[in-house]
Amino acid sequence: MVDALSKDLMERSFKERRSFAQRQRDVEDIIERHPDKVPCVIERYRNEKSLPPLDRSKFLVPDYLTFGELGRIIRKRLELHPHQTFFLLINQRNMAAVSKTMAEVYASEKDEDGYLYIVYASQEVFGSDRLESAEAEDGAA
Amino acid sequence: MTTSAGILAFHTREAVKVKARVSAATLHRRSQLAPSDPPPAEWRRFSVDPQITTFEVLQNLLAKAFDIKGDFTIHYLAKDDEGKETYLGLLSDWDLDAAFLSSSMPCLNLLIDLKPFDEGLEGWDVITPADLVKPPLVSHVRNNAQQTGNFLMQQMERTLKSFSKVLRGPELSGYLNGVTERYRASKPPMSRREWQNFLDCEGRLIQPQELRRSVFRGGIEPSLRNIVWKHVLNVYPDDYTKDQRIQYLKRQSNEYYKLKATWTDMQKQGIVTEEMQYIMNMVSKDVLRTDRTHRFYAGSDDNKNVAKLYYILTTFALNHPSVSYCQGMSDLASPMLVTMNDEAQAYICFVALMQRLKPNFNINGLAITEKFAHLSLLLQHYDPEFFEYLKMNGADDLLYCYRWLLLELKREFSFDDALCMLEVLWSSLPPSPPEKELPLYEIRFGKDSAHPQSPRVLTRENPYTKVRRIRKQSSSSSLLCGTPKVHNGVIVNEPDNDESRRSSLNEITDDSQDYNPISDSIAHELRMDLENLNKTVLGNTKDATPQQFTFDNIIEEGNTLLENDGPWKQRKTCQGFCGTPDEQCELDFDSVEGETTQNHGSRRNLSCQSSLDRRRSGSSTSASTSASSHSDLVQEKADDSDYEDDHHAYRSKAPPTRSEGYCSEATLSSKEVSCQEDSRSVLDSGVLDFSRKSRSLLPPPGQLGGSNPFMMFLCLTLLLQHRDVIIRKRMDYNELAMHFDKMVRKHNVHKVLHETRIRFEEYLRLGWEASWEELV
Amino acid sequence: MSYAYLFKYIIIGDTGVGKSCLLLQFTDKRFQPVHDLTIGVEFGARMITIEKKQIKLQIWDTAGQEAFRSITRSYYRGAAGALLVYDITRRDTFNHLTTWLEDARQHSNSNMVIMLIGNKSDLEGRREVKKEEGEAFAQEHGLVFMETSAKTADNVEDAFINTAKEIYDKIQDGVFDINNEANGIKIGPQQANTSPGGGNPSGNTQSGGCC
Repeated sequence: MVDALSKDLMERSFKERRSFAQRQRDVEDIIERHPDKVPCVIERYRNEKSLPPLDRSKFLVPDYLTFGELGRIIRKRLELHPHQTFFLLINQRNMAAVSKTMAEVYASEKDEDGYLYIVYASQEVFGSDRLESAEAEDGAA
Repeated sequence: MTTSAGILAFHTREAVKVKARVSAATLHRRSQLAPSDPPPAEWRRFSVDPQITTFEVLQNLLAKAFDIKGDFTIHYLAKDDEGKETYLGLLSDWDLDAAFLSSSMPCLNLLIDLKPFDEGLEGWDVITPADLVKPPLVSHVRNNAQQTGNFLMQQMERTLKSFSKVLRGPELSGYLNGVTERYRASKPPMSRREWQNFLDCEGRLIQPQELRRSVFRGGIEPSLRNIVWKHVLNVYPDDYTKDQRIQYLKRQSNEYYKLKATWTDMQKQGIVTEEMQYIMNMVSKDVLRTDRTHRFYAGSDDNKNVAKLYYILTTFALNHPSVSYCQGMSDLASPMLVTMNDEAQAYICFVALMQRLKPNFNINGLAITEKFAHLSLLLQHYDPEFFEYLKMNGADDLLYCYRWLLLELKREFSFDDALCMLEVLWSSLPPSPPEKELPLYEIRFGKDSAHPQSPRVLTRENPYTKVRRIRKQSSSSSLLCGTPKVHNGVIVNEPDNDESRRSSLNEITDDSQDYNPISDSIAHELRMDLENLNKTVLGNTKDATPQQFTFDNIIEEGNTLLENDGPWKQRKTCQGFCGTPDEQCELDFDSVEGETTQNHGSRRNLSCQSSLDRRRSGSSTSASTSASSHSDLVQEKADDSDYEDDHHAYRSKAPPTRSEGYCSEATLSSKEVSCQEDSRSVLDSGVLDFSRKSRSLLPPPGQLGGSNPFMMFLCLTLLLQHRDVIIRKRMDYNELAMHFDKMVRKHNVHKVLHETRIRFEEYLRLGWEASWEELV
Repeated sequence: MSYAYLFKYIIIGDTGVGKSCLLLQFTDKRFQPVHDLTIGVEFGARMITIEKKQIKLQIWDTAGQEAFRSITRSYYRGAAGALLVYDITRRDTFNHLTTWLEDARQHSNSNMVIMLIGNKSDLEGRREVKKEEGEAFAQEHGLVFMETSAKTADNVEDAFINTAKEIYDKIQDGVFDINNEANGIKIGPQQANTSPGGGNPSGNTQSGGCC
């Protein structure tokens, strides 16, 4: 029983685990204390099988870091080696230019609740229709 | 890379001493909030190069030095106008520059203040400056490519400096102990997590080359060694799942115990053959003198581990009559037993190791002789002054290096350090898994089996061998030719033989393409960023993974020292690219005549081009290598005039479009053009000569050191690290030999590995014909 | 430090007879029971005095297993003195002496001084080779003989020094061509004026004959 519950928890995304109001409060709180950092939720893309999961999902990222640098740091967290492909997607569809700062990305892509939502995957996914079709294939391969 | 520090102020000093400590307030705060994890209270001292140390780099350094995970501020001690000492904030490159200029003699004194710990950060992963790792300052290094003279040493010094300024990876605190900041490896030792990334869902090792690269760069965490060593040592056949490996080990272990029982039972029954007696005597004498100061073997002579070592070696000797037991084997087997802590698995690993090392124990001494010759060559090449000195003292026979060569330098470092070195050394070699299962015996020993006794046991008297003759011909030009040639079992001197040179150069075309060379990972990361994660390239790289190495061929031929069938002998045909050896010959001739390579769709051209690409992306000898890859194509023409002609022809053509090649992630025409332009600037310098000369004189990776080039560079590093003191003190043969003897178990493994990696990578980048990937 | 002469020695004999321990005792005046087995050759040195002259001894301690002979043989030729060692508690090491001797004679210069050493004399309780046997062998082959103990240092100094004395005597008698360094003798920076053939101008090292 407990196992099923925790499995369920694990599979639910961040948004599914906390209500909108809770998330909004968390962000306001953290931004007050760390105004120079961008609150990010970084999760593994749902259908991703070959990349490992991260220990944590909430990240505070210095706003002057570039998106590319964030990618490198996450790669290191995952201890990937260079041949493992790895891509960061914002709001499940965008690959921001690697040279954009997190501040810029946050300004244009932040969610209503105040978080910046990022997923990582091992296949480059262009556009939401691709992503949707990938979801459709879920379980087939 | 130009830093603001470089723009603002021209620092003439090459190094600034820094000492830093954490503030008392911070210590207090930390001890209250995290009493189990106090930061170190003492000073940390290190040196930085002001020309390339930015504020961010300094932050990284300090974060690592004090294992700081959060934010912190830096202040430096300065004297104000009245001479009073005060702490000023260090917040930017400007501040740092000012600090270097005004307050860094005798050293820069820094105070670290941690920002208050924030309880509310529970659940948050805070990314800090410490996480961000900058690649090494490769462009800075490249700018120095123009220097003539001792080009290589200067390059290395620069690279050493840039390496020393950059730290990487978050798990370095344990790593800091005893390791000077300058000599840290480019990545932390392989962790369990990283290891698991190499396996597929069934536990198959899907990237054996990648595994080796990773180990080469940073070694393995001690707790993981017993697992990963078995892969690096080629214990398992290819592609086994985890379950298959478990079963395989079980089977092999049972086999070992059977082999052991065969002779131990005989002994119990009082049946002891002459061979058994001889071997048991020799082995027992030697295990009592092997690593006895190590806790694993220490204490009284009936230490169980000593006994295990005895069983392993005796079982091996009886079942491998071609080499039997020979002094030195106990040193080689000992780390296996300590690491595996399992008698059978240690035996299996030892057998796997001996597949490669058996030739070294051959009574004829040819394999060792070859290594001596190559080491001599390397030394002449990299440090002709020192070589002259040795020659004048009759010490150019390098016989004091014998132990290094036989034991693969195992005894030159403390035991634990030796483990670090060995795994790096082993992973520098390409994978060569057994085809089926690793055979645990040559001929199964038994009381009934009528197998020939080991020649070592039979003959007490050896004829005077070739070894002495070869070693004493210290000024022989046979050394210049590289590997001595063997005809009918007799080594023949072929001074300055065109044919032998051609053939040894020709080896480049096949051997080294088997070779799995390794170079700098950071260049790769940089490239990754620049190319915005070009999927196409990465995808292709995966698909175009080369076929299985047939490294065994090379080892066998190493054994017989290149019984030479003629200059154009090809030991391995390329996979689908180069076609037959004859075609390849024709290609060679074509390039000799000055046509450029672009017309040939051979793999050799691709690798040349891709090696150009790799150069551009930031290794220090990029430009020189482009020239030298060209020289690869004109190997037949030794005189300058022809070389120049070809060279100009090459320059003027447009770069070819890159086709599939499994070389690298680098790519694409615009970059190739810029590469060529870069290379042009360096081509006129002495760099060209050096690398061209190197390539014509040095054996290729597949041959050097009997196909163990990294080890040769390890030996070279040891020699060069002591050449100054030897020359300064005017040591004679005996004195310098004693000097090295005194260094047994005392060499600094990190320093040695560091320098060796650099030299080795430079050597690989001389542009051997190879479709190898840079170590990334 | 300057010396009048430099003599090169080699220590040969079966594995485990105590060659390395003899060297350590002589050069360092200590005994180390836990000692790595010798691979290839290891080196030691010490200064001694003979007839008020400084003699530097350069000692090459070789590995005992025959597989290494092919390498260590190259050292025979350059040696002025050899210590041929066996273990008095192991008969087989005594039995192999003939082989070692033949090896030495074949590959070294004929004037090399060889001293026979029966080591581990402190282990009287385990003795397998009588002292008389050693003496007899030595006499038969024209060698000087001594029993030593690297552990207690008994006779160790004498072993090395007596060999040096023999070499020195041979130099005085003009048996050695001291200008040929292949004999394992090197003339030091300050030349003694007792070299054969009369005195040389002080301070100069001269190669070739005098005058």
